[in-house]
Amino acid sequence: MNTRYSDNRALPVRILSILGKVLILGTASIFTAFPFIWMMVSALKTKADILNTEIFFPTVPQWSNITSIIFDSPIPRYIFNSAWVSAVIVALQIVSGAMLAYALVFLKFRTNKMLFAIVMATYMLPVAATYIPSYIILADWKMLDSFRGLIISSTVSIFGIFLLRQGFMQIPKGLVEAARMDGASHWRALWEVVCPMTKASFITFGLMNFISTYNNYMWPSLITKSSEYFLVSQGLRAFFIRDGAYGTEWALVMAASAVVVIPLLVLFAFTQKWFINGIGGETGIKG
Amino acid sequence: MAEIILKNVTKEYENGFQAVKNINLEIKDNEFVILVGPSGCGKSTTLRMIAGLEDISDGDLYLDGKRINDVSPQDRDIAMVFQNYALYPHMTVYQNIAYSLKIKKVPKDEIDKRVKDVAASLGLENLLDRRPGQLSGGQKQRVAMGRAIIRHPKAFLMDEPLSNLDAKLRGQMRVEIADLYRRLNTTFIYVTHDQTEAMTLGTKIVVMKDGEIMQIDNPTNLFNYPNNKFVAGFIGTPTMNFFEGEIEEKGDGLILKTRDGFIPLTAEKAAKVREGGWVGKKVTAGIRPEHVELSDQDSAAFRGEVSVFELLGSNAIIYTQCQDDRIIMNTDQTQYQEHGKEIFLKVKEAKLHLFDPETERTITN
Amino acid sequence: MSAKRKYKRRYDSLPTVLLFVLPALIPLIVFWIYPILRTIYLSFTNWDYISPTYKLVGIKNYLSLFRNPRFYEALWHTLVFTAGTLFPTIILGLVLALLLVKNFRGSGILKFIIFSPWITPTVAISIVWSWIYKTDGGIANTILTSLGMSPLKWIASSDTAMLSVIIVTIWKSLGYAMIFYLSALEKVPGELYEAGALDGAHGWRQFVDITLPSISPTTFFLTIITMVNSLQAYDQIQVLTQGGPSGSTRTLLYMYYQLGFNEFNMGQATAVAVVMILLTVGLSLIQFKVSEKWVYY
Repeated sequence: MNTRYSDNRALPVRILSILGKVLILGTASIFTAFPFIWMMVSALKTKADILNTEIFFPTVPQWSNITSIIFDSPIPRYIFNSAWVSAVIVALQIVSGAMLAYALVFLKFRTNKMLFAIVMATYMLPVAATYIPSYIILADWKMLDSFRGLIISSTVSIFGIFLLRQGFMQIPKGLVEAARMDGASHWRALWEVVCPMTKASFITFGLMNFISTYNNYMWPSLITKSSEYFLVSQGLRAFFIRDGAYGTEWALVMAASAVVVIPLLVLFAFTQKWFINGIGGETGIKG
Repeated sequence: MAEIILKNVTKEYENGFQAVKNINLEIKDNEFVILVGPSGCGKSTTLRMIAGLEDISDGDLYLDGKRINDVSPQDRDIAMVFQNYALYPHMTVYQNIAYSLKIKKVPKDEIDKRVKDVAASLGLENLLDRRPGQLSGGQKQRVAMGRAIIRHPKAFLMDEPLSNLDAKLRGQMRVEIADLYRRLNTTFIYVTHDQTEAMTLGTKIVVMKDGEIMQIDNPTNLFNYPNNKFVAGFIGTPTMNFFEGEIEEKGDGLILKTRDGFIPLTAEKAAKVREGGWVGKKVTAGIRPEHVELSDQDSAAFRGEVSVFELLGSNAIIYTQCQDDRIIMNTDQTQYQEHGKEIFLKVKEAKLHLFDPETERTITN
Repeated sequence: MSAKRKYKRRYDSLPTVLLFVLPALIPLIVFWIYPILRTIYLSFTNWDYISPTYKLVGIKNYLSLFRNPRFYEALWHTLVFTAGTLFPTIILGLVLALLLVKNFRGSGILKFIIFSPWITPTVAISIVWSWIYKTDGGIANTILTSLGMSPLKWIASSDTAMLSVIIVTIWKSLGYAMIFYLSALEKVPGELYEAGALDGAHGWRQFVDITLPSISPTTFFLTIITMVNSLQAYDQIQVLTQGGPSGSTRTLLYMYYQLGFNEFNMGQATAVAVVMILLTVGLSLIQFKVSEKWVYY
């Protein structure tokens, strides 16, 4: 607990509480880490190893499982698709989100409050409820089964608008006014004054949305049918169920999962602080 | 270098509140104008309307003869120094000062030269690579001014620029601002709630209250010839003493009858009082503390007990509790009076001010 | 005095406002607001996606939905799934945050590990879990047997499939809740604890009287977010069970997916979507109402 006092309880109680803490944290971290570990050891097993429940570690690590995924499977292509589609989407979301958040916080117009209420309400609605009409729109525009369709249907992030709005509200209004007096247009004030001051919100926004777009499954799987347009989740699932691999090629499937998951874990390791400080810190908990 | 005219300017908010009520103000080229008044009097709103940061609900604003109500702040060519300095925290001092020139696409070497000149004139040469977070209050203040100076704007607006500084620094910066005005030779509009600041800096002071202009004048006139009771009370420290009295005939002249005695009116004042038809009526009188003197019982206007004797160095303030009023006297340090002692006070008749008790307008100064 | 001009209020110029608002507003209207309204409209039609024409059929879709036992099953599964993921996620997230809020050696690594499932694709980790859950030779059963318990059929049996999906979902969202609580706990002002200590609050009392009320806005926020996410869970269900076995993990969302994108019964599908919207809005409103009693801003 967050108490700032020296612990003056009796020694046995203290030992017990430390034991309890270690036990809970130990169980929790094993519980969360185990699937990753299991994925990685399974990825390196032979077909024989993998069916033998007696052994945990591979007898001889089969690095060829991994290399065959990297060089002889469509998985890298899916990763590439996911990465660049997400990059484009996030870039668009940042621009559109920053502009709307700027308008909500710094511009004066009649419907300002109403606009915020609409955005707020949309945040809570189940996105899946929009899928059928959105699908029809993309079909009408001949954009099904294309990157264009994927991108164009995701150019706005309501979560991002919230995150940025929250960040922008911390900026003293005087700074934007000073920029205006210095001769800056609203556009310049946004990108040269407001944006550098809320860098943390922008980075958190970018990372969070990059990850969730990268991982997104349901919507892309509804609108793309040819494997050349698959994002990673859909591609991985296709690989998982392709001609009966399900149930027989577990080692390869695990290797494919590992190839997909490990880069994300590495990315996360380097950007951890933006997630941990960013999400908890600025996601509009204020009532 | 600009002439600014406000014609019947009003600011009304969404909820119907009028922050500024139909004011008229002419600011000539190169004038140093001070808007002063208590908080909520509309002085900052007026300044922000001139800057373009608030829209004008009604009336017209002219800059050099051109109506600029609908010109956005970025196109007005007016610079402003904000109360909290509003320095860009992510830019260095150099970048802060250079920002407006960068926007105007001034060539790099010219920017460099101008930034260095401005920095030299403000003593900021050694701080150019610092960020605002690493500066003291006084240094931030200088950077904020530098940012305004570098543009050679048509007019300078300053919104309570010294209110975040400690008293000593404030005195120093006041001198620097006055000096700056002399050097730059351009129009200054300066907002403050501090009348001392207003009196020491301005050549033309606009006293405001509740969104209206009470008086526009130079410091001497404001002090000696206030238009109304509000201005009389707002300008000068310690503040003017106010008390009730009745005008009566006595011999050839008029007197102001007070509770404990009377004050004879000078011929000049008596004429004004007669002209206004105030003989026999109640008025509000005002006298500045420096025009109150000790007296003997016979010629006293007030009688009371000393409640506080405050020694301020060469001068001293004596607070006297009279029956209804508390009279403040500003005198020299040798006039020590013991707490609780009964004393008698008179006033310098020539310095008496009389006000209409209803409208608070001046009857005579 | 001449007739007073009517006050006109000037705002930022319309082109400026439009420039800033439209890049987000247009997509928002095209892909959010219009589709929601369109969904509601379609739920009153008999459209089958293939036919070029369709007609309004009134509330027929709703009537047949409300007569369909599959619908009630799905509704029930949705509620079970939502409750079954919501409470453990919030409670365990809070417990972990409480244990990790004071930094110690290794606490950074632990936070990293516990949060990491959230950043990995649900599909990838669901595949891993389906391997763990495998009835013969799956590690979950190996562990159970080695602990002397009888093995389970996990996702292969309608008795345990829902539990299995819930476990994966908790596993995935635990770290998210923990991160929110961590930052909320860090923000509880120290003086509160000091004042509480002077009043004699320690241990459990301190937790109930000071910590919980201070972090109640976070609890509220997490409840809403986790609930909305649970109502929309799809990825793990699709990979692990496809709604089976025998419909035991079919939630409203999954039913919507099957009706719309497998059976192309758009009228019925959109009717389910409308029920989902109402459910989300209804549960949120209840939360907001109840929150007035226990959330302290």
